[in-house]
Amino acid sequence: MPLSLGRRSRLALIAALAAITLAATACSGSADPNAGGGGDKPGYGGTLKIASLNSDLDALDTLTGYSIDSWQILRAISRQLVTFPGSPKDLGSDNKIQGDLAKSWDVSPDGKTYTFHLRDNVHFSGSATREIVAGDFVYGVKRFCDPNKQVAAINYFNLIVSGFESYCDEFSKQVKVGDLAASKAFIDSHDIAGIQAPDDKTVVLTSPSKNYDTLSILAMNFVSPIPEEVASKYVGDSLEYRKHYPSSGPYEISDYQPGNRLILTKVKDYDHAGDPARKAYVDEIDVDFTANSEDAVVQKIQSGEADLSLYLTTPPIATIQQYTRSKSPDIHSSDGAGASFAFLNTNPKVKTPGSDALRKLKVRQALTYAVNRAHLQQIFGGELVAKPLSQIIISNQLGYEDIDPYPTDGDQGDPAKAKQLLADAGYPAGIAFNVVYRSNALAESEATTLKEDVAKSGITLNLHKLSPDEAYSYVQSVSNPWDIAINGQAFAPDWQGDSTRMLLGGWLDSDGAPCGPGNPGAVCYDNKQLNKLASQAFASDDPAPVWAQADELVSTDLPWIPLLELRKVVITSDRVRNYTWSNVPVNPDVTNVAVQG
Amino acid sequence: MSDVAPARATLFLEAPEPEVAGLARSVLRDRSVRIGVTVVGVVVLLAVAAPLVAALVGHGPTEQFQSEALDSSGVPIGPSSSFWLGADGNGRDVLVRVLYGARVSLLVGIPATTIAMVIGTLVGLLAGFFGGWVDQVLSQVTDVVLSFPFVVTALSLVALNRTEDGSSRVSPVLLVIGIVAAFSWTYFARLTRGLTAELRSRPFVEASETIGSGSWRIIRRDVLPNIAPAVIVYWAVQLPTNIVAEATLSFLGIGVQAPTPSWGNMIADAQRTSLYQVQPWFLIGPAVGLVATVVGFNAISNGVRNVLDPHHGTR
Repeated sequence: MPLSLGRRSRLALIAALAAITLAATACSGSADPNAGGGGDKPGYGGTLKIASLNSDLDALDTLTGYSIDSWQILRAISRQLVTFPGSPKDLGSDNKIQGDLAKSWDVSPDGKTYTFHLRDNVHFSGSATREIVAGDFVYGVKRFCDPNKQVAAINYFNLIVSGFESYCDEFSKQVKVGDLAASKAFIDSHDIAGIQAPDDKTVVLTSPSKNYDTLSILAMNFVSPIPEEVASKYVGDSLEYRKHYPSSGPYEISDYQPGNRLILTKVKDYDHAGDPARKAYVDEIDVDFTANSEDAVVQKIQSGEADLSLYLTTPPIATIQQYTRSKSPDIHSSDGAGASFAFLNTNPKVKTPGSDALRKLKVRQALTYAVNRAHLQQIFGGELVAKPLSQIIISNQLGYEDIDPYPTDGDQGDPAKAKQLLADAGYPAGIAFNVVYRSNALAESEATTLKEDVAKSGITLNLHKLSPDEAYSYVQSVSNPWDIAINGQAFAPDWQGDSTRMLLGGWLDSDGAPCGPGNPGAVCYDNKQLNKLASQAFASDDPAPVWAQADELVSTDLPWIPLLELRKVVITSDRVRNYTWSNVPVNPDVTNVAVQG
Repeated sequence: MSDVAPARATLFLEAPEPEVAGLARSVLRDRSVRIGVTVVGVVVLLAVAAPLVAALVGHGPTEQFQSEALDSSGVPIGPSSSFWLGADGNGRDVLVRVLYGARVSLLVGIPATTIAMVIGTLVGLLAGFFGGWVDQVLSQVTDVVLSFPFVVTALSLVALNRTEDGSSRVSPVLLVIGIVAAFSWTYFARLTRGLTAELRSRPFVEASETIGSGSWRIIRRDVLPNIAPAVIVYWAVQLPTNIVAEATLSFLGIGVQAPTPSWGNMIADAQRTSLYQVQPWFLIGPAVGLVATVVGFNAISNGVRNVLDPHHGTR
């Protein structure tokens, strides 16, 4: 999923004079190795305090939330049909799917129809308090293609819900943006054949074909119950909607001030027996949006003012070193955080000399040989944080086989080979590309390191910075002639394990994600051979070898330049107990960690 | 009687001549001026010598030395025999970058303040000398410009400066000079207007008018030489403010762009990566440069004011 990393800055006027003072406090906040950790038995109660690097949540509606950070919060205020219960070990171990609001389900012999049986006596909280019924799931899916606010990852649902595409086509034809009444009328008068509620306790999902990962797709936050009587009054994810939020999870929003704080309070007399996946230890989750730099977030955690972070992709290198050197139990790391890629502009409508050149395989090969992945690994924070990546899928995704179509000694790149390939491609004097990067510390460091390293191969990168707010839309617009985009972290898996579809059957599959706006990374890659392999994998009982073949195909063809596979590193305060990883948000599980004191 | 009158007339018609040589001597006798000049002199010297230092240590300002200057987990080394102020998070030499950063500060600060001085003085002279509607219009324009918030306006201008392909219409350094000048001419204009308005009613100016001198001649010959010392002092007062303004813009990421070093973006890098915790010189280097330059210019302007201001208590 695309990450929206934001950072507000401080005034340098203060910084110049405060600099020496800051340096003097450099050693503050060291962790006590004897404190904290996960050893103690978790207890109920207390407030889990979260310091956010961004000044607000990028999304709070299950419809549009598609960042790991919004999902970290949505875990507490929404429930799904099925879910993952969290794992203390690592992200990849949280792979046992279980019933969430569905207590059980049946699958038809042809694998195309899933019938879910809902739990009894589970209620909404917040702006709706009635019992959750099957129709609330159906309504949730029916609002996915509302032209006022479309679901973030529509390609999944085109493939797993029969009749979804035609319903959406009709919706966009009949309803104009801004007409909420027309949206409601359309949703009330049209059905999607593939999702039905024959009674209040049964949801039936029918897919046009068999899909091995249907349950995993349903475990993402998108398919959540939504009460129509509340949601139809607001534009999806508007401030008004956020303030009248219908929660289906163990917490409800009790106070929300954008830019300041979000307070989630545990639902009174919450039915723990009806929610086996979320222990909901803490009474309150308090998100503080006032920290405005990586440093401030970390200091809040070190001083105990906060327990966890939000929107902090990786703690600063200095912090990681401090925690690891003191063998602190309050630093946690796991494989499976995602990857860093150099996205290439594959939109055929873009006609810059750089993107024209990138259409030649030899130029892409030259670029991958020019990159020094060992340097990138180092500036990201070493092997605890990242490892060199030479293929499109990452090590905990289904079908992964460790391949490197363009190996170099010590992953340090091969400028001589890169130069030769450029000369063969018709660029003996070298070549220049327009590179856009997100203005966060990690992406800037990555972009400047790439610039220095590829220069040795005769490749010039002209760097242009984009603010986090504009980065996504800038890259998506065809009129912006960028050649290469650098994000720091380019993607996090939508879920751990069999999520290979996301990349090989989603972003890069031109059948699943046609070229155009709304496509993450503005991918217009079109490879019929890949599309064929993806459709084989979807319906296969043993998709791993097919995905491995597809991975080799694209990793050799280089629609993007793979740079690093990332590990997730999280620091917590010493109050945190029962540290738990959560599969889908790729983050700590706020509904399963406890706090002491 | 006839031989006396011209002498009296001369007394009224000639503007008082500032004694330039004597003035310079008394300015340089002032202790804070001497300290300021020394500090600024060192900064300028180091800025000029930046390429020499880079050649001496063998590290360019944007060159990265991951294997020598970073450990395996990316932590930069502190001061050593080859990296005198240690390295930053990308394995670049902090000392070399601080020296190149001084160039940016001076290259932005001096032209921006000079442009602001020229524009502001012209506007102030016109408003103060002609008065009436000219004064009203120019003073209103000055007030309107003063009411613009600096950072917000700068952010918008930077956004407008970007072309479709993400590159800049004009060089970011020129833009920063323009923005800083656009926000600091108003102070010169207000100062000059006040001084000119006061001189306007003095007898020697009125006398010049009486004998038929044109307005421009009076401004050039009578007014400008009298306000020039104050304006020059104010240039030195405004310069450190403008150097900090450049650092602010770079700190906020809208001034000089990576990987070009500037004190502002170096301080921002050290702060947001928290690397100052393990490599304090990453922060102290540019911060000391910035503070020294600001203090140096402030000392000069304080000293010059001590000498020139007859109302100042000590002289």
